[in-house]
Amino acid sequence: MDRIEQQLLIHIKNELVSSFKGDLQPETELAGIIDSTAILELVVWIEGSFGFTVELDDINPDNFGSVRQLAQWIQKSTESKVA
Amino acid sequence: MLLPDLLIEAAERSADKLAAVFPKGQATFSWLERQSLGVAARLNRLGIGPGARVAILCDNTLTGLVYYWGILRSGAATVDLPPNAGQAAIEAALEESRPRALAVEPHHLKRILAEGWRACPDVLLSTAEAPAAPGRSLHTLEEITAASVAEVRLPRPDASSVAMIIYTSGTTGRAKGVMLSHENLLSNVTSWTARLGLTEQDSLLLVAPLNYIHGRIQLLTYTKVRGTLFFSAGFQFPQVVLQELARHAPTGFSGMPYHFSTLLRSSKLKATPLPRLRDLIITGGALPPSRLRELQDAVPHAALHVNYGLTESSPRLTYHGPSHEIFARPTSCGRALPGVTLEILGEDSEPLPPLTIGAVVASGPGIMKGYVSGDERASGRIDAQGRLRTGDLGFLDAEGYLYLSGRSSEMIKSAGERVFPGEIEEVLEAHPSVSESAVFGVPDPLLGERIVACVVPAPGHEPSPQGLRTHCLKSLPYVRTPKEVHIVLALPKTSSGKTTRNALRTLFVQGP
Repeated sequence: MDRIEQQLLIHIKNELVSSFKGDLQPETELAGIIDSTAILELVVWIEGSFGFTVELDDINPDNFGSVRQLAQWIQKSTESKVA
Repeated sequence: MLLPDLLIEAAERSADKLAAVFPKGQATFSWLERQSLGVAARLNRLGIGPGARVAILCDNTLTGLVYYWGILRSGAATVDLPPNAGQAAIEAALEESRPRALAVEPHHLKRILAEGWRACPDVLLSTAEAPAAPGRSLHTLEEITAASVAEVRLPRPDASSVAMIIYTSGTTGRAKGVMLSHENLLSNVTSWTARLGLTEQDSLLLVAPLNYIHGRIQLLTYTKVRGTLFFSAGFQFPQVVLQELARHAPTGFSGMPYHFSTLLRSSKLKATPLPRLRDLIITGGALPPSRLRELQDAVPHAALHVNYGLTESSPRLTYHGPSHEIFARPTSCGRALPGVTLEILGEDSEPLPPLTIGAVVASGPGIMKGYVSGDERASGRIDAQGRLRTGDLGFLDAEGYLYLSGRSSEMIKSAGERVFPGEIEEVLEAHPSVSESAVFGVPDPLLGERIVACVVPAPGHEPSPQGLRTHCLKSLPYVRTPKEVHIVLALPKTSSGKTTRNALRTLFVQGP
């Protein structure tokens, strides 16, 4: 899980979020930090990096609320794919 | 009549009706009216009224809405600031517009204090959760509205005076403060509500931020007809926006082409019944004809409406609709609204005949008072006849339908945002490894245009595209950051040495 969090943090910090929004932590709320075009890019990156197809219903504030929530959801989604 | 009279009238005639529903909190017209009176009375006591400006740095929240109406009722002009912009951009707007006070939400105030903004006014209007702001005079909404308002006689400014200032991207890289009067905005609201036949039975789900003209004009429109405005939690989650449409069941939805394209691609719009949705209002650009058809098929019972305009024209200039009209001329953006005159001018400002492409120029009651910077005439935005140069190229047909065919300026329209190359080039060229840069837009099926940058390295440097994108993110929101950065040896120039972004764009779109 920590590994997924780290991957997400690095990707989001380098590619999607302005540093003027403050320091990004796993628990930082992503609402207001990531705009809608960035979320769509993040979805594409998650699909490519973790090898599963993201359902439209899964792109919601519960799963995308923070890096921690994202990592938990990615973990669950990849586990269910393996199972 | 003044803008705040829209709210006063709505409160008189539909006191208990819901005016605004936010993800957190809602308000009736009469509640909003009382709250805004309290704010206006406080501003009045502080000596803030006609001629003064009060800035707003708020998200789409009830707090921001109360302050907006309160400022207007005080007779002062509002200055809408973009909360998602960087410190430098917002401070530049504050320095230029010099507001007497700032209405700000607690989390934005925390940021201002942490970053030590120098341009922040001394009078702050916030809520009880606001952090202490030493050396400044802090007023909270709770305390303002708890104070009893004795009979106050609020001053009434002239209807031709500035009511609102909205900051929008400018060609130079610096945002321009567009000054709109009560008359400007009321004329637009009146002609639009008549054109669409809106009544108090109507309601709208809004995804646009209130600091954009799109958000403000819809707020004014639905206040005039006493209809309810539902505020989306944001467009980050298109499927959630669709759920909001299903839950609130508004009669209308308005968005930019990007919003509709995204709903079609990333939500279950086609599979979700929305029986009450009657009006789909496409604003700020054209959807390709195939996408219009797809949208109509997804919501077959709804009428499509298209309009074209600019912040500088309060904003709507044309109307195209309903659906059968649109599908008869799917590439047009419609005809001039009542009172608006559209002209197509040639290179020497001579009027051009129908079906001839030239510069689109507009006049009418909605054309702005000017820019805060005062350079609207010197920059050629307003011509000697007082007409607005839209910066768009296009033609009119014999029946007066407008067709846009490009832009005379180098503005990029990406995800509904107006982006000028200069603002991004300035950021890129501030990086030590960059000698010069050129930024332009290339067609993109979802974003409208995708921002592309070409960069020439400084001698002895080898910048990486990724590193430059991260550099841009330090000063620009994601939506304004180049999606592609290419390192090149040189940029194409004109004989006078100016970079031709058009030549680069053509190279990228058509290939060498």
